Amino acid sequence: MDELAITFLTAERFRARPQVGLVIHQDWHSLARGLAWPHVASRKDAYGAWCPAALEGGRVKGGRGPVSLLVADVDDCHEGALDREAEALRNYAGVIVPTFSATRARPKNRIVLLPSRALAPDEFSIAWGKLARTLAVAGITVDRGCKNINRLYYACVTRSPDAWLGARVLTGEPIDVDAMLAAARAEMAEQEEERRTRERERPIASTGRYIAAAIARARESVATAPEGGRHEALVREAYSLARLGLSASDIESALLETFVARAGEARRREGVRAIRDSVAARGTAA
Amino acid sequence: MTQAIDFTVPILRDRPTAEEPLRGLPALARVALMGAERIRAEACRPRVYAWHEIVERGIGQVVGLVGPPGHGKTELAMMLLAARMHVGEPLSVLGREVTPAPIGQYGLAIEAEHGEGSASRRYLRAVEMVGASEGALGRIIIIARKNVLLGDEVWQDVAKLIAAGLVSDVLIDSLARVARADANDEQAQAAIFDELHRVIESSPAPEKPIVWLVAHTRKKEGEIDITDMSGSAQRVAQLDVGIVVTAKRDSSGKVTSSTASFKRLREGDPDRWPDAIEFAIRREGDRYVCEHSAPQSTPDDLPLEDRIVEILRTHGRVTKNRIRVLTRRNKADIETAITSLFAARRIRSAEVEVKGTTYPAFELRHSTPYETPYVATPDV
Repeated sequence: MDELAITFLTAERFRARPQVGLVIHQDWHSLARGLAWPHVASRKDAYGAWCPAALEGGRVKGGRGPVSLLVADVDDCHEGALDREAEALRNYAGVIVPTFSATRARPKNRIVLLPSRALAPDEFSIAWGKLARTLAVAGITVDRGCKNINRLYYACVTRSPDAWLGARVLTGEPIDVDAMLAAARAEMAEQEEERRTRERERPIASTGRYIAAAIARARESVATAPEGGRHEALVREAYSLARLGLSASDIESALLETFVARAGEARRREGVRAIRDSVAARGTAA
Repeated sequence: MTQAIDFTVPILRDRPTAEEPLRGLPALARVALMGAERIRAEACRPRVYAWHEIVERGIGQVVGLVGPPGHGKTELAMMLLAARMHVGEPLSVLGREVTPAPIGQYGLAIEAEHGEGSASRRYLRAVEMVGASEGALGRIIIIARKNVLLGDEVWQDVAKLIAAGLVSDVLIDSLARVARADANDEQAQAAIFDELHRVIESSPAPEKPIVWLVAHTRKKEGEIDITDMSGSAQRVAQLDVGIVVTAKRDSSGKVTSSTASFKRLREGDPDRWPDAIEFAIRREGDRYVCEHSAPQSTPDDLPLEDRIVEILRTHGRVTKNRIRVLTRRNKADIETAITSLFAARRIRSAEVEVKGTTYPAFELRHSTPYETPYVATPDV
């Protein structure tokens, strides 16, 4: 990317309501220098804020737009975190900037990474999720609030020159956005497949194969009962399933639709009554 | 140096690889036996029997006693259960040793073909015929009801008892009565055995229960085989041991004797396949006896491990050299058998003093299955 588009809010614009920023265009090196160069102030909002997306009309509330940088805040960290993160991310282009409340013992920081191209809003959520998961695997826990496309980040401010822990500049390559999105989609597809598998298995697992086989037999019996014998088949099979501890509603779910499909919608109420009577009869007999 | 992060690689769950085929497959890894070392170790583990060389102990075998009605299946099953429930030294049924079940466990008999009176009389007779102790009767739980069905409330309580580790043997008489699935439906039959195996596997006891299934054969003329067991081929296929019991009758139709033929044995050794055994139940005075045609298994017929156990049982502490003399086997055979017995925790090291000199020796562990109670922790 030759020029990156981000939204910048001066301190006044940041405090104003509604918040409306300025979309600015800068090359990566200039922008990185600005993001990593500390201002000294007693308030963290003294130098305004920025958003990695070029928000439409600069409007922050509900704002969307192409995203030029992938950003994640790291609040849960320990001494030496800046160097460890810089080492883990050495192959990428970006900066790691200590935030206003960073201390040596707890060097809270912001990771800013350069993608190979701007991300469309729909792509951003996928890419940011992938970023967070991958960092988590490497032991870097990020603030999930950063997943919002219109999230604002304070400009680089430190309380005093002595408190400044120093930014780390990453001199590797931009993240290959398309490869990152492909990897993220593969992960999502696997999760979806697992979810479907769990759903498919749930009813069988809860009843056991023996009961599942008994239900299948009962359905078959109701489905193949000849005209004039359908009611009797339903009663017989419902009674038989009740012996296995199935409730009236379980048996209704198992047999009623099969009965209605064969005997007609007009006999649905008769089917419900027959099942309940059979279950009640079983309860009396037990 | 810390590994560099790569955002272009998907974080997929652990997947099997050529090097680690069970990686990311925890369910399979829990049950799979893999690796030459483990397979060899398992292969070396001595086979332990509940009914010598016929029914193995501890691995949850399903034993089918199959035959036409009134031919002696139930009688044989009851004798086996009585011998399993005996408290003391192993007894013999049809000439073969039956190892008593661990103390603290029960034998469950679902007698769907008999009433309580009839079932009680027959168990009393079975205990008497095998010479079991009075304690055996105290360990048998009889459910003599014609309406117990696999999967119903009673069965679910049976399953809870097994899951509490309190059951060593389950006798189901008969399969047709207790599992009324469509006999010709392969799926329904598979589901019955799934349920049986589920219940067997739920036992936390070190030895999984043995299921003795009494099953009828189809009506047919001529010789009866295990494949004549009524129901689909699934029933036969699911048996670990299949015994066909047929009777001879006199002209009035009275059963004069029955024959037990061993038609299916899991891992049956062709050289040691048991011959069919004819048995007859007769009344002698005020008691019943079971006479049979089988020769009593002599020590030389036994596997070397069992012979060593017998020697230790008889002689107490014995040196390796003495075991060689008594068994007339070479040193390598003795070493292998002793290693197996240690692995099975059947023996332990000891010392004997001969003419003032101490020699290393072996003795039986006190924790032989019928000497140490299995203490279950019921959670029902």
